[in-house]
Amino acid sequence: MKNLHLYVLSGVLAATAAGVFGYKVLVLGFPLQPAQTAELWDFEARVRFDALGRPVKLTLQIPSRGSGYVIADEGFFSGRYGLSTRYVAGNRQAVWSVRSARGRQTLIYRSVVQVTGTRRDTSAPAPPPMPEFAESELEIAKAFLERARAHSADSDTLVSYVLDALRNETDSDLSMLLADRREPQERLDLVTKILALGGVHAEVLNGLPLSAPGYNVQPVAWLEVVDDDGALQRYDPASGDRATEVPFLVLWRGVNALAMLDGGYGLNVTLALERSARPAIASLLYAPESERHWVVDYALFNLPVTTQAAFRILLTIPLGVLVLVVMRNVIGFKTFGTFMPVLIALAFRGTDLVAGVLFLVLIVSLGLLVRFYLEHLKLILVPRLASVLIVVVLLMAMVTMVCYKLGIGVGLSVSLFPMVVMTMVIERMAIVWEERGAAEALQQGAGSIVVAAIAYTVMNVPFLVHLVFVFPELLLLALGGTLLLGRYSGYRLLELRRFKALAGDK
Amino acid sequence: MWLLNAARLRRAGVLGLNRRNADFLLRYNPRARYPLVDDKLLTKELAVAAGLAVPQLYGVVEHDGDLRALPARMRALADFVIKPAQGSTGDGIVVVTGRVRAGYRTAGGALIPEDDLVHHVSNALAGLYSLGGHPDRVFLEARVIADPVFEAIAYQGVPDVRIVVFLGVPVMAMVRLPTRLSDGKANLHQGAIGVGIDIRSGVTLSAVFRNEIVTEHPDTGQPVNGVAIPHWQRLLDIAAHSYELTGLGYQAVDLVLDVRHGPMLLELNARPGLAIQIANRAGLLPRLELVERHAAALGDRAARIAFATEHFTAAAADTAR
Repeated sequence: MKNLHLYVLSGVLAATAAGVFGYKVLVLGFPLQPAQTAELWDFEARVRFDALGRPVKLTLQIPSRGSGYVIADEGFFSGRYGLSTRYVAGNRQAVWSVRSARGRQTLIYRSVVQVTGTRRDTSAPAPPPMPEFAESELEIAKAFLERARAHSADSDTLVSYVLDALRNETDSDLSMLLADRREPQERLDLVTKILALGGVHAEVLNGLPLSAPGYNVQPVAWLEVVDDDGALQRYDPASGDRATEVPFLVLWRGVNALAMLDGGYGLNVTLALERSARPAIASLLYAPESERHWVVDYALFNLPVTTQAAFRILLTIPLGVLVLVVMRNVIGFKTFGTFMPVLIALAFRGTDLVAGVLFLVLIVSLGLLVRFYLEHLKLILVPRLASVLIVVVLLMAMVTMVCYKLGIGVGLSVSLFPMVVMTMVIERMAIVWEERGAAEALQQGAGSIVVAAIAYTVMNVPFLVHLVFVFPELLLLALGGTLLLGRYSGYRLLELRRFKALAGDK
Repeated sequence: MWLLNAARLRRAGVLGLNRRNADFLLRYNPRARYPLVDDKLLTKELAVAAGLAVPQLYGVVEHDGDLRALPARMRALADFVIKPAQGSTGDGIVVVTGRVRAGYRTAGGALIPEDDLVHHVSNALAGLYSLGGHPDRVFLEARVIADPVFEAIAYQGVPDVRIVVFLGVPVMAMVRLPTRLSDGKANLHQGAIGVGIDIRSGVTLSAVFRNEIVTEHPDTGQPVNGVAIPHWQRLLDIAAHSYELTGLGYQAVDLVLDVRHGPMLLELNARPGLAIQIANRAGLLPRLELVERHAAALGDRAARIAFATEHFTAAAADTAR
């Protein structure tokens, strides 16, 4: 048989993929669906700063007990630093210290947060001490509290009233008190003082609601109140409503800084929150070393959260490439460059499809105008390419600025668009335009965009993204597919149209 | 609807790009031989060594340093053609018909200043027209004056004859006629007409213009079929010879008919396009498969040409119907 070697190879790849996949699903119980209700979350705090060769001490607020979740697992990446954890005023802190350090430093804290259900927590702490108000402020606060009390019936409505007033800035007394307090946690702290004046125990929580994953998220300030029945209630100041469904990961209580650095500069803390793909096998993951299966140990979700995020994207690229192969060799689309459409599809991640296509067309069109002008200057190849690249960067800056002024928000995320890809597209398009004519150039351009759009859509189907991340062995299947397509000798779809004059004859 | 044509095209024996690449190019064209064909200068050297007629080589520009001497060399010639050695599908070729003051007139009638020509050569040296963008050589060769047999059906430029040769057997042929749209270039992609040629008789058949079948030249209005190509046997011989020249199993031979020197080899092509099938209103596959079956039995060049003239003719197809 003609292609025996190839068929056997593809068969082996497919069998391997199916085998490992089947084992993981049936025996180990890896989840097939992306987790619908996230029971586990991966939290990561990445601290970066520069050290000066002096002793360094870094203090970071780390998650402590809260209602609705437990810290299932915790890890610290400390390098040469000594580590200790302590409680300060009810807040849990990690303290990293070292005798001498120089240059860029990176410290990481990771934890797995397990949502345990939002039970009503009736273990309320002791009533707070009377708040300290400056004399001038005390009367104003009392006046405001009177009004608030008059407009409410219980602790819940009282808190709602106060939070509404805080958000809408309708009350002049409150606004006066808020004049010096700019930060959200300071403003909420004032609210707790006012509520305490009224006999309602409240505390400021700083942390992250466990509702939306994100890379580089900022901690928000929420309010925790002991209601009339003695139960703990949480309020989101952005809406003024009780947040009963959403558990809140507490990083610190009261007014404080997320991290404090001694002996360095340029402190930068990045927080990341990612839904964990582990719910169904949590018990396997947290089993003691001796019982843990080695396949689970090597699974990709043991990596740091930020690396996981990068891999989620990386692993979908073969899907895009498979789409590209089918579009070019089976359908017969013409594109610029071999893998350009996949690179363009990756660029669309930052802007989403429609905005990305419009932006690409805009920049390429403007770039082409400049490129045709450059023809008059008779520049040799490499400096000409470099000039086009610089012009592209400037164009991107201009377009972003115009979008910002016009209020088109999506224009702000285009800075991630790869400018090298666009330069190459412009250069190739200009050459094809001059050599083969406008029709051919536009044909290839349209083909590239269509293929990029389809690849982008496929690369972002949530089910597929989950599948390739949890079962990377499925990419062997994709490999077998591309190998088989390597000997595909049938007609391309668009060839059927090209040769239609020959179809009637014989 | 054309979407359902796959079965009909298969019956007609039409060769698609995937099939050409998978079953013929990858199988019969050793990758090591490609440079002999992709680099026109190497092809010229091989042809001259084998005694085949080619347009005279005036000079080669290899490095940027040679550019300084180029204007003087160009001025010493009456007319010439500038060709990047590794260009494809006619890219980068400039046909100069004469000099006017500080400029040069091209075949299309345009006037190019000397500086622009030098800049063009510099671009070509940098690899602008070569496959893969590699740095390239540029050469100047003699301009071909077309045989008058094509006068009525060509718009300026020089028509060329392309013969597809499989394992040394000429399987299909067409003549490419320049039009105004193609700017005097015999390039199908740029708007030239391809006219099928009967392998046995050397007489033209119907033609293809932008994937459509036509019977007249769009600019002159003259019928393009029924024209007898002169020196046809010699053309077939040069084509069959190219197999021994390069060792490539599937290639196309581009030949021109010069009014003074007769048939000359212009260049070879290792990845010939498929429009020749539309020009001949016939699929390549039946012919290729026939050659595949008998290739071992065919001996020398004469036997291969005899095989082709016997089997690959529209007359034979007619009687078969």
